[in-house]
Amino acid sequence: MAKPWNGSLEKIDDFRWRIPAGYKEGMRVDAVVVTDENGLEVAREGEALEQLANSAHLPGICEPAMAMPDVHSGYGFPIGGVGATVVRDGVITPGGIGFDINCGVRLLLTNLELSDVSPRIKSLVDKLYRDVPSGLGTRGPIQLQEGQVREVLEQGAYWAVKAGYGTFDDIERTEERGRMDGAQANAVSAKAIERGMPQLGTMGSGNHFVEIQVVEEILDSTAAKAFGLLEGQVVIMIHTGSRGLGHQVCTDYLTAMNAALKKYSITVPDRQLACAPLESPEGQRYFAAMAAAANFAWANRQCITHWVRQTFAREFGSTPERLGMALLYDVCHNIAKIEEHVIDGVTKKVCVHRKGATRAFAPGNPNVPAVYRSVGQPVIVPGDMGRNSYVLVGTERAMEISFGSTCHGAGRVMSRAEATRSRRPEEVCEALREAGVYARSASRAALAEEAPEAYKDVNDIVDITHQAGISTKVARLRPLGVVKG
Amino acid sequence: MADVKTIIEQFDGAGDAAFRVTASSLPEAFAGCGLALSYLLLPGLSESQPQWPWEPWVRSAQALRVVRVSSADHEGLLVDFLNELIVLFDGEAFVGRRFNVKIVKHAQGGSVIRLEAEIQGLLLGSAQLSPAEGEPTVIGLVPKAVSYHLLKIAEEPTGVWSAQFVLDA
Repeated sequence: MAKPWNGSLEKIDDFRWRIPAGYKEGMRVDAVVVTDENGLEVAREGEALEQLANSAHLPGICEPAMAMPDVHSGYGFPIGGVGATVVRDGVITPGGIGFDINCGVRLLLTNLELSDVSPRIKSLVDKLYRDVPSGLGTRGPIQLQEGQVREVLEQGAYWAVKAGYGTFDDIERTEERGRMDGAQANAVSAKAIERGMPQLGTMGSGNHFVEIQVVEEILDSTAAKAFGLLEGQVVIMIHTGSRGLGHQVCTDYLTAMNAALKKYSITVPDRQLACAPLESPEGQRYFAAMAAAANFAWANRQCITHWVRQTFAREFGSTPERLGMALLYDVCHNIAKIEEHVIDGVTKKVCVHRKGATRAFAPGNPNVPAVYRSVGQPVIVPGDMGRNSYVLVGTERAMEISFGSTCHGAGRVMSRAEATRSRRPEEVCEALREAGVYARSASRAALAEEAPEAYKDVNDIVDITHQAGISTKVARLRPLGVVKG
Repeated sequence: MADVKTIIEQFDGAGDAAFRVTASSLPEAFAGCGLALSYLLLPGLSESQPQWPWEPWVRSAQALRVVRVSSADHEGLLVDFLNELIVLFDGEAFVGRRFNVKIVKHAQGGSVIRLEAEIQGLLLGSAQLSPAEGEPTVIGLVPKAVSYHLLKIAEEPTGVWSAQFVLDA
């Protein structure tokens, strides 16, 4: 076990800790972690805080470089990292977004109750396992031609809805309306497009899942009412991203950005932070490709939403409409967005990198769907398979201190490889069944890596997030059954 | 060429899965890195064992694939090589088992290092990729990509080559 990180940390208040810019040569701004004293001790393990300090080296980064309460070791940025760079003379880095561009989460509502679903949970999970393909090393149910992938890259979830996979109301309840401005299919390599052709509507591996949950407790009745959440209601959470297409975009542009470092005389402490000025040809091209991959991810989650609705409709001999299977919201947690934020009293246009962090815009923000604007943006926070997930809501405090950002999940304390060695998948499956959660997966590792000891407790992370005020609790969800990629 | 057997070690504390490989030569080090990735994908795989336990059910036990990549440096070459292997699994469920790697350095308008690898391996079938209830799940950790984080490849004074890489899964 490596020694805990012992660099300089200054307490700002009970939930913010500063790594001063003087900690390391080359840091341009301070870095700030949002957590409490216990969380700080966990964050000190591994490389997360050193990676946070590294992210403060990026040219044009605004004060401060930030880490959310679920921060843990990543590549380049830590996971849970947020970095805003000034558009005019700042950079964009694939290492601040991650390989799985627009990895994200959406939550589907139902009008079903626990008593409706409990007796059918095995049947539902088995059918979802069959109907929502993992896509591991194989083809999904939608086979796209190259030209169709190009359409998906520029139209996002809108393409999927036009093709019959969902409703236009789904688009209204998706971040960026499921279609990011600036996406250009011609910025995406032929290899990335080829990888995307058989993968639309597939879940992928890693921590991706479709989970059936029940609303265990309402914690903010006003926001819950606006979101359509009730105690005892069954909901479905979908977690996936841009699949091999997005991974290839990141890989392609890491190579391009490493070449750009020399051209623009930029020095970074980690090659994974390779970057280029946002307004340079390299920066613009990466942004266009990243936005296109983000659109692919939104279309992917939209297609999976369709399979889930169909599966439930067949199981209950009904229709998605009669089952009330509306989309609550879809958030992305690996992305860069051009946003305006007030920094030192001045409104600036910045490129907010969120890597394992969720946008959490406050009530009244015009980017929040009209239907939720009075209460704030829904924030969906998945936990591990054996514990809770949460619905939170965005706050003004997030706009003030974290570039409108909050946590994205529980955060790992053990690498996936360590977790798979520590527990046999059969043990994890059995423990989950004892906890009332029925799980299916095509992969041994996908189950074993979900051993509870592999994660921080999401309840702790959400408590810190709530107390720090960067989003607040609306509802706690409990898992009933899950299909893992 | 140093007279050592290839050693593959997995280490913790960095990313989702991290490996160190030591080998007698640069091509052997690359071959070891490829094999490390295969062990991660299929924990039951063994290079020395003549038959993988589930081999009768694979689509093909004798598939051959050729990978060609080039880069300006060894680190870039390793990232590109391993990413090609990930693409082979992602696209057609191919898992390499025996790697024959050749590396050549060219000096045409700047230094370019080229790699060609002939890889014998398995093509997995649907029974492995989406096992029915009660059937064994054999797939291990499926990486998304190779990172530049902690990436190293170097020749030691003893002539032994060592490589280190971290995968995002």
